[in-house]
Amino acid sequence: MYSLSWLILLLPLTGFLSLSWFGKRFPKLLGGWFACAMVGGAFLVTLLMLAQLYSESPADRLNHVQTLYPWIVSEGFSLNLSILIDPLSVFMLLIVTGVGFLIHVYSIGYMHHDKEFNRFFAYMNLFIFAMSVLVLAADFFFLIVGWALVGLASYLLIGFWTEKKSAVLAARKAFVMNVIGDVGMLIAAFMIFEHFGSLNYVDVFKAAPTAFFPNDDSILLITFLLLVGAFAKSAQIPLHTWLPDAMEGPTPVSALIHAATMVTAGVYLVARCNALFTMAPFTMYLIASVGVITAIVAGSIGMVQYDIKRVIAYSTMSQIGFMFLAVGVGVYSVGMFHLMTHAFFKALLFLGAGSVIHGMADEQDIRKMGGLRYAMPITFITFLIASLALAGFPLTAGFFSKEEIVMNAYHGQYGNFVFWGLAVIAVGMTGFYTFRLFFYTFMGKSRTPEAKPHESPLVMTAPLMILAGLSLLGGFLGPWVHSFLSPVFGGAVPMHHDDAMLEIIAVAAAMGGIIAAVAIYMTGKDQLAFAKQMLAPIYEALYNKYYIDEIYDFLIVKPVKAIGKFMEERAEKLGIDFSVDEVGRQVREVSRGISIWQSGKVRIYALNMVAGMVTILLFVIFM
Amino acid sequence: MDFILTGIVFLPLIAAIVIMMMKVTGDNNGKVVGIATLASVLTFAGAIALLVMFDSHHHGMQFVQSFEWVPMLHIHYTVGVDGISLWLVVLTALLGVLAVYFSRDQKKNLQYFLALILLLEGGTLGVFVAMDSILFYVFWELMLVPAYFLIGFWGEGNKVYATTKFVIYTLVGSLLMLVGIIWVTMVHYELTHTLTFDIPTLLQTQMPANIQFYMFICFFMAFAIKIPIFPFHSWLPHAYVACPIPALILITGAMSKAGAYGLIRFCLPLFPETIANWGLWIGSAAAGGIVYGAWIAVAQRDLKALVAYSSISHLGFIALGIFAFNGQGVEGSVLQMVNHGIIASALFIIVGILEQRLGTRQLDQFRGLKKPMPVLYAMFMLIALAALGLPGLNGFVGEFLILMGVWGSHLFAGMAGLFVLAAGLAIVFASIYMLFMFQGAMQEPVDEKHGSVLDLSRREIGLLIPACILVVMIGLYPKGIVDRVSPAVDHVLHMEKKYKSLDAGSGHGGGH
Amino acid sequence: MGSEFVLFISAAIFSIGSVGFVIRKNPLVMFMSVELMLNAVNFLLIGYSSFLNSLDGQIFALIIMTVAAAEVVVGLAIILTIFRTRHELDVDRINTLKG
Repeated sequence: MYSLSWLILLLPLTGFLSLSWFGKRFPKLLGGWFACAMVGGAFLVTLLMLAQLYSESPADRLNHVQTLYPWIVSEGFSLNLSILIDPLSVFMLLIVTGVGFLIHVYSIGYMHHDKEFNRFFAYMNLFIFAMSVLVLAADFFFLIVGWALVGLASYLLIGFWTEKKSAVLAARKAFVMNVIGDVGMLIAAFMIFEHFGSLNYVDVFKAAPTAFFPNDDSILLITFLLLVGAFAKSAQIPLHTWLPDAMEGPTPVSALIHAATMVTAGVYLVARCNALFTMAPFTMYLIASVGVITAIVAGSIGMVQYDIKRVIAYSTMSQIGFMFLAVGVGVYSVGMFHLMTHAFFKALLFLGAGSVIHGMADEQDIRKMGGLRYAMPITFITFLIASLALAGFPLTAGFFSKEEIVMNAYHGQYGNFVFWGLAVIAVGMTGFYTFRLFFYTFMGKSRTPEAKPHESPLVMTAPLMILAGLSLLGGFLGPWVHSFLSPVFGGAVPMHHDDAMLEIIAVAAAMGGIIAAVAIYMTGKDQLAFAKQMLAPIYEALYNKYYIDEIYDFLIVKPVKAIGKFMEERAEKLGIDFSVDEVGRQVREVSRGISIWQSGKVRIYALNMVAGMVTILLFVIFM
Repeated sequence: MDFILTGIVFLPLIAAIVIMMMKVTGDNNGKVVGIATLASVLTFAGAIALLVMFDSHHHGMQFVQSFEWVPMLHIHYTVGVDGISLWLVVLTALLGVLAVYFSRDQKKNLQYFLALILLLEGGTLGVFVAMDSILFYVFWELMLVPAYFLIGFWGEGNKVYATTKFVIYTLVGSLLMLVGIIWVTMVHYELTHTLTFDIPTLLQTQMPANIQFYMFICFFMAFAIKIPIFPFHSWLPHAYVACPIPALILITGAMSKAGAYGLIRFCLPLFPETIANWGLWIGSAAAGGIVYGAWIAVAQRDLKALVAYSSISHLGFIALGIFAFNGQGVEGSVLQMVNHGIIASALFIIVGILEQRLGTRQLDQFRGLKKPMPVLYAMFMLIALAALGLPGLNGFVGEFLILMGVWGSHLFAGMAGLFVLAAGLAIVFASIYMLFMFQGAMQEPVDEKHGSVLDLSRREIGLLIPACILVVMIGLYPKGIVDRVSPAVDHVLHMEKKYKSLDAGSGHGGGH
Repeated sequence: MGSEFVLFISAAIFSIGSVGFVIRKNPLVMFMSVELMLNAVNFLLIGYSSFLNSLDGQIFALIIMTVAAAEVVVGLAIILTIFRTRHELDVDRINTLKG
């Protein structure tokens, strides 16, 4: 039965290959629906796997490894091409293929006018395939393969509009940043192989608890290197700068890759390797700290941006920061829970933004929007639901997951007061930027009267409605998530902490954020101008994203280029090349010196001859 | 079946001589091209047959053929193939077909051009199958002759300087190697009182520790220059940039592998003690070269120079893997030789095609070619991704094995982390310069004047298709290659020395 | 008249020949000096041949004379050609082989 799971990989791969080989011969819409069918099929197979897992007792649900063929056998190292079915991978796949399917359907409407419709769907299928490889991998090698392949798909889709210079540059930046992460994971894999003699999850995780002392140097290094990969992929500080730029891609791409699935792979990685991370409490603090700092930094930048997609992108970074905070304080399934709810409402938010952009004829600046609630009612309602869920309004999906995170930031295994306090601030910011965006876009009067916004077709709004439903009700899945995933995390179910005081403060923070947004953006313009004037320096720093791009450019990009040029001109041409040529030149100089003997004067040759004769004679006589 | 290796080696050589002797008048070129193509295809067919008949469980030489050549000095004509050379033979034969196929566009003196290409192919194949050290040396120098003329006569730019530098530099190394070959034979003679140049027999010799280092240097210099290992690389950028592309396919794809092959064949089994002492330093040079080449490639604007410097980086990986001196490292290196042969030659073919179409190789002179050339776009992307080491394609498998070997290497203990880090840096740089090259050429809006450039012709697709298929296949199933390599590598690394060295023997004999 | 006399004469002729070869500029004279040196050797060979009662030395002398004759043919031809092309015969000015 589990062998059917190969279909999860095979179907999107078929979609990718057939669309990229025969894409030109496919009729336009058929190609799109074909791609959707492939992802939908993968989703159904995943459901089948879920049912299969449920037919077994929780303890037996782990470690179903399916092997296809031996991939390599080298001295002391062998690897099979195999996949791993367990609750965590099935859970993740449900999100990937499920949300992926909805976004595929949505894309049929969104990309309708694009000339390279089928190429787009080929890449989207490639992404689903790559993500499935990442999730299903049964060892660290294929994890890296999947890790890099999703990077590739992301690169292809960010740079989908190849004639747009900014998209091309953004794609390159995303790829290079991700390669940095890949290298980190590569080295981590070597270290794991060195210590465990294997790269298989099953072997490694079984041996992990006895292989190290907690906070051993090597386990710290391994987890730290894994984190480089996780942070690069999940756009956490300091490897985050590619994500906002990645918004150059088509909006469904942002929804699928840069919100719902790929960027959360880092959280998945930490959850997957929980056996390793548990052995390194210090790394756990690091994860939680980076998570919460990213949540605050990204949230604060999001508060002042004007590009609708960039605001959501920063919000994504911030929410992933929450997830890292959750796994960092040791409640893995809470992180996965937030990953799920976030996939719902953030995909919805992006798709809604896409609908807005679509309706506004490719306008992305929220200052030029406004009053869209009449023109786009379905988008308006669904966007509102998504915003509420994101802000953590009580009883929406985001409320449950975020509340658990904030609670565990204090009560969790590695939780403390500082994490909690920062998390609450980030929650407040979330409420603020979400509703700032919402009010700018949908409320008030239209700021560009000449625009003729229109509601999107059903093929786009239907996924919106389904996702809205999930965003509203997904929060009630919490207990199921915790119990379903508990075998993977050593049977632990996160405790529920009844701490009314903390809960009230968290909710109040979210509400405070929303109310602040209402106060500033719903009433007249004056406050805004006043606030901007008062906080001008901070505002500038925020608006320019803390100048991190500029700092990187100055500290890394420019020196790399300069050193490259320097090495070519100095080390290469004047150093190595010159010295080799100089050897040749010196040889020639020496021969020129010697060639004085070859004067061309016969009498001198004769004299030499005689002198030689005499010398030999003297030698013979006297020696 | 004894004649198969001789056939593979001499078919191109004979065809080359036939072509040179032909009297070509006007439109007789068709016959020349026909003969060249036939010879290269038959050679490739022979190589495939070799691959099919190869016994992958056997570590020793197979298909051995031997007869006396210079009886007075006990020099034999001996050919044979094992797991290490097998893939290089197949690779060279494949690249030979591609090179001949690509040569047709050569306007100037096609007859001699093709003859020299075949000569180069035959010489390189000879190096890989020669099992007599003098024969090895003869083929080694035979490679140099056609390369000299191909660069010097058909080249471009500063071609005379480039080819002179290339030949003299390489010759310095190979003459040292001749000294080394004779020296090894003399030591063997002292120990066993039999004069032989047979390589498998010579490899059984335990070299005396006090002279091992000097003998090692003799061999090492030849191979290090040929690969090249940093800092002996300075002939490469000049030669590659000047070299006509069809010849470059063979020079970069096959000839540069001869150096790495020599390291595995001679240096590893003969001088294990010296490598144990000096491996760390050589590894440092190789790791330095990896970063150095990649870093300079980042600053390049000329596509050919960019690929040339990236080659220095990738060849550094191969050298690093060899001196890791363990199974994964050496097997990864052999795999990476095949990979680099495929990838670098395909990249050069692409550069050649672009240059034919646009008349320039400077990156800032063109862009946005995706629109007029969608097929090239797809193929270029695949090759570029393989070149930057995307996991799932072949380049990564080799790099992974090599770095895994480096990480676990006893020779590099202490520095292994640094080497891997350097390699990691180079991988990041590789993604920068490859994307720079690919995106710079293919993306963004197209220039007016290049709007109607023709896409790949059927023939050009045929040139790139083998690379595209192999890049994916090796990525999906590297076991197919590694399985045939590993018995031979295992044998090389764990060789029991039959002929113990004199000083070791007297040491055990004890006292005065 | 002992063998010392032959040796002395031979050495004297040889020295005259070699000094002449070194100091004269005209190739014809130099040529003659070379012949002088050869004859010095011949003289030695013949002289010792008679002392030792063996014909080997005389046979050798004959061979040397044959060689010298052949040499003269080639040498004179060269000198003639040089004179024809350059209209002078000064070895110090014939130095195209200068390195």
